[in-house]
Amino acid sequence: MITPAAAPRFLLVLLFLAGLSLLLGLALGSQPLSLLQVTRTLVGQGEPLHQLLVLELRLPRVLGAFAIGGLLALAGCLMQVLLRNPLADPYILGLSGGAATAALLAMLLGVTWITGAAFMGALLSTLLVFGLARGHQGWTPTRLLLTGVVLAAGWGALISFILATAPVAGLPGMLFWLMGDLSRLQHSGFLWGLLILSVLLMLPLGRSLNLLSRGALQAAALGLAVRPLEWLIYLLAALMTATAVAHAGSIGFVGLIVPHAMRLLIGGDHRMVIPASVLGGGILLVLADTLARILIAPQQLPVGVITALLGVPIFLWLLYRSRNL
Amino acid sequence: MSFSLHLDALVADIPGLTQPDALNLTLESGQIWAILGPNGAGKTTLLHTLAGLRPARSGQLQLNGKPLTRWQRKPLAQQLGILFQQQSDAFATSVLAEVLSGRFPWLGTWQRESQADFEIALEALQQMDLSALASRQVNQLSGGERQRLALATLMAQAPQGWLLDEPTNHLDLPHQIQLFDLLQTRAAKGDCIVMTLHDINLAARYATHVLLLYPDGQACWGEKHQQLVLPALSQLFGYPLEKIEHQDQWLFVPAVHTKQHNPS
Repeated sequence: MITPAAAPRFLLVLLFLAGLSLLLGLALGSQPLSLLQVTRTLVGQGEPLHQLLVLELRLPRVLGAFAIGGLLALAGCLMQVLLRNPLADPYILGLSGGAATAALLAMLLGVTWITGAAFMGALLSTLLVFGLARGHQGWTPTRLLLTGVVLAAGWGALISFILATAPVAGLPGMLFWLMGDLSRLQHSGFLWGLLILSVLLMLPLGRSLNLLSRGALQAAALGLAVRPLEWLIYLLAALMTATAVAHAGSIGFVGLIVPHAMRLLIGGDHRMVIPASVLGGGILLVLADTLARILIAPQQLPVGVITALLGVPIFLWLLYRSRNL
Repeated sequence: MSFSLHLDALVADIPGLTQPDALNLTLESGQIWAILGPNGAGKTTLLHTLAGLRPARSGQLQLNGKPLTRWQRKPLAQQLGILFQQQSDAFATSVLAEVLSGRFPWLGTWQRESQADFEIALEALQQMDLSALASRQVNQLSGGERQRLALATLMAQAPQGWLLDEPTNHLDLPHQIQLFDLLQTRAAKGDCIVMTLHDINLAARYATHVLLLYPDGQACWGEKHQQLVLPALSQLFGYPLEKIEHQDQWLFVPAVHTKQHNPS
């Protein structure tokens, strides 16, 4: 583990790696460019073909991938604190299931507004979970978790039903969407806006999140207004996840693995874990998407496959090395 | 600054009790209260109610003259701290980080922990004999060490009113005595200590006041010497007790059985 004092330096390293991953994402593809060519193009001196390749084809996708990775990792981190459960991820409350069901329905019906449909589905699922999880004494993490998991299973059944009855021609598109697909990314301005806003909102609450992760009662006894904070992180995590899923399908593992990897590396202080998760999530997704584009080029793989293939061994190695769990 | 927590016809919402006695008393600076009663009498519920973590069934609480419900969480936590019976550790964290969390009520949103906060935290660790474990992970501690860490966190919080739910849990004998000496020092400096205990003799030795919670919802309270009497205690626990005097101290022990228990 990196000592708390060295954590700011670790953030700088991550920042450097983030820049490097973005450059790699721009350079690699069906037609690889050198880093020098990429830099020249970025400052407006490259060849017209390179301009087209880098600025118009790759840049929106790479930037979008980074933002979505950051959103998912931050949402996962917040969900883990909200549910006081290290196994939580952004999708644990059935949000991605709701989004997927709506998106697949839209594809089935031939509606073109898939992003909007997925977003509405995610919000509907969020509201359902929250409404149903409120028992007589309000929701508790366990109640929320159970409601979400069961609802997710319900969405899963609906998704299977749609896949089973959909015309064969539409299946590859649906499966791609389900596994996570960044090829539709055009404008990442909104994604970046939401990401930056969320980070700015959460950074000053880092210490409060530390407290909340120790339990609601303990946090309240130490002076934290627990319910407002829980509402805030639930709604924010839902909004971030819904946005990410609507734009890129349900990309797995980023939201579960990245916050954990960061906790294993720099400890449990969320003032560090939050920025580190955002950077780590961005880096992982940019690299994964780059691999997805080049591994069997000119064909593309769904990026969700790569995040799992990359994330699982990295995480297992970190876990194996760590003595903190 | 003096501390007072006034219970005004307070009825804690104790599960299973239809009509517990209303409590009318004031917990004040310098006092050490022991709450005694059998399992399920509502000691923990009462303590959580006093901490403002649970709504009362009826009645009111006033902290330093202001209704408890009108206090904001942070200023409240500067005045009132609670030791829970159990600690939950879902995520790995270090001993030092845990004890520093006690400084939360004293820090503004944008403020970082200052050198003074670190010193308070380290001092609390030292008082609980945990200095050597500062960089350890919390989930690697033994039960007694975990309990001492929770106490150290409460010390770092430095409230004036201390609510302690079975503070001697998991503690070995020397640490029990060390803790009570420390609490006595705090009370002498003007803090108010309220704790639930199962050990009548620790209550007899260290408390100034006693609150007895009977299983049927009755409650008696007052100065230690008026309350710690044999008939009341025997009735409280539903078990005959005997009193032994030793060096001006009263010791209460379960009466030796007159009837043979093992049927063999």
